[in-house]
Amino acid sequence: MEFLSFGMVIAASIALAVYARMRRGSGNARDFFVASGQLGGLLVFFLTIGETYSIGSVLGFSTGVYLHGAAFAGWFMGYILLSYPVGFVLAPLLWQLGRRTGSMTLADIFRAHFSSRLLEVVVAANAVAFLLPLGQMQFTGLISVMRSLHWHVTPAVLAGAGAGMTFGWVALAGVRAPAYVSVLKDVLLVLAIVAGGSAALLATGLPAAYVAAPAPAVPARQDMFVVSTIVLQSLGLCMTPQAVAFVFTARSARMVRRNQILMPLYMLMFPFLYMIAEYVRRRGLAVPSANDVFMLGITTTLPPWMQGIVAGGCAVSALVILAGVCLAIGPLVSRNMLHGLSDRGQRVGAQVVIGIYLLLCAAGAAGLGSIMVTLNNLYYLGMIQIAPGLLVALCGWRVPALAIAAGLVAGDGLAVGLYSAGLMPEGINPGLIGLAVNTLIVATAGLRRPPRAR
Amino acid sequence: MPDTPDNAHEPRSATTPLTLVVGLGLPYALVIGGFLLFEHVDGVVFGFPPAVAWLFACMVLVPCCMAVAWWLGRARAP
Repeated sequence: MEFLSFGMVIAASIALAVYARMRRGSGNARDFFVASGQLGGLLVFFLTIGETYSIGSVLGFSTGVYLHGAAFAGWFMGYILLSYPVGFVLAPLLWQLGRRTGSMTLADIFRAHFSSRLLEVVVAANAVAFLLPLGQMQFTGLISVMRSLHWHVTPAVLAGAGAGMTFGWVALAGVRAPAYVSVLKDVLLVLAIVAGGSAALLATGLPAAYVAAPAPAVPARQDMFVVSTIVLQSLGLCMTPQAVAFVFTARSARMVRRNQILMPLYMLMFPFLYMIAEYVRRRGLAVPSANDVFMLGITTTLPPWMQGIVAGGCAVSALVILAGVCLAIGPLVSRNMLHGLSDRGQRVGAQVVIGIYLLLCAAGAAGLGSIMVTLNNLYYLGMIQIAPGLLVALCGWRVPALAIAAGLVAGDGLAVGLYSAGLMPEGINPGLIGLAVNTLIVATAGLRRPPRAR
Repeated sequence: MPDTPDNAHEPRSATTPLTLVVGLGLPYALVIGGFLLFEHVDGVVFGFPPAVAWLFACMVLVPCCMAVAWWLGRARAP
C-alpha cells in the first residue's frame, strides 16, 4: 500500500514538471536559470521557502531534538526564523541590483559591480565548493527515508534513480520545474508532519506525559555557540547562490519583500516535528541510526498508505532542493567560470555540469553514513564569507576587488581551519571568526582607498 | 497553476532606520534574547520547554514585526 501512494506522489511530481515545461517562456539561458524574472508571488514563495522544508530540516531537526533536546531546537529554529527578517531587508535590494546589472547568478553581481573577472571566478569557485556537500546531504536523506520503509533497494540504485529524476526535471523546465513541484511537496510535507505529530501526541497522551523538569544549567560557552551560530546561519541562508537565483525569478521587488513577511508563519510544522522526536525518545524506540528518528516516528504512528505519502513527500523534497542547487551550480560554472560561452553554450554546459555533479553526489552519498548536521555546518562556514563583498555591492560602495577576494579566501581558510581543528575560542562559531577577519580586510581596504575625483 | 500576476505598480515599502529597527533589530532581540532568558526557566508551556515554546511564539511575533515595518515603510515610500 505504501508503495502505491509513494508511486502516486512521484508520478504527480513528474506531471508537474511536464506542466512546468509547457509554461516556459523563450527557452534562452535567462528563462532556464531564472524564469526570465517572471514568476508570480505564490511560486516564488514556495521556491524560496523550500530550504525550510528541506529533507535536511525534517530529518535533521527531529534527530537534533532527539539527541540534544531544547538547545538544538533553539539554534535550528532560531536561525531559520531570523533569516526572514534578513531577507526582508536584503532580498529587495538584491532583486533591484540584479535587474539593473542583468545578473542571473551570485557571481554576476560581483562581476558587474567590481568589474573584476578574477573576483567573479573566486566567488563562483567558493560557492561551488561549499555547495558540494549539500547535494550529498539530499541523497543521504533520501536513502535514510527509503531504508525506513524496508524496501529492498540498494543505496546506489536509489541514489542513481534520484539523480536521474532530478536531471530529468531540470532538463525539462529549468528553474520552473522545482518551482511547480515545490507546491506539491510542501503541501504533502505539511500534511504528513501534522498527521505524524498529532498521532504522536495522541499515542503518548501528551501534554500530560510531559513532566515539568528543572531547567538544565547551560554553560556560557554553549550559549555563545548557539547565538553565534544563529547569527552566522541566519545571514548565510539569504546569501546562498540558489537563494539569490530564486530572488531573481521574481517579477517585482515588492513581491519578494511581501513574501518574507509570511514565511515564518510557514514554520508552524516545527512543533509537530518536535512532538515526533519527543515521542520516539520517551517511548524508548530503538533508533537504527541518527537520521532515522523522524521516519521511525512516522512508521510507528501512521498507517502504511500515509507512510508512502510521507516518504514520497520527503523524496520529492530532497530532489527539489537538489534541483535548486544544480540550477545554481550549473551557471556558476558554465557562465562565470567558463567565460564567453554563447547563450546555448551556457545552457548545454550547465546541463553537463549538473549531470557530473549529480553523479558525484550520488556516488558519495551511497557510501556516506555521517550525520547531516555536520554537512550543514560546513556549508554555512563557506557561504557566509560572501557577505562582506555582497554588502559592499548592495550599498554601492567602492572597494578594490582584490581586497574582496583576499577577505573571502582568508575567511574561508580560517573558518574551515578552526572547524577542522575543533577550535572554538569562547564557544564562538568558527564561521563567524572567519567572517570577522574577512570583514576587517574588506573594511581596511575600503577605508584606505582614496576618494574618487569628482 | 498559472504564474500568478503581481501588482508591480504598487510601491515597495521603503527601507528607513525605523523599519530596520522594527523589521530586523526587534526580531533578533526577541528570538535571541528570549531564548537565552527562557532557557534558564523551569517548567513547561503547553507541554514544551519554555525556551522552545517561546520560539514557537516568535513564529507569529516575527511576521508581526515585519508587517509593522512594511506598514511604516509604506508611509515613507515614494
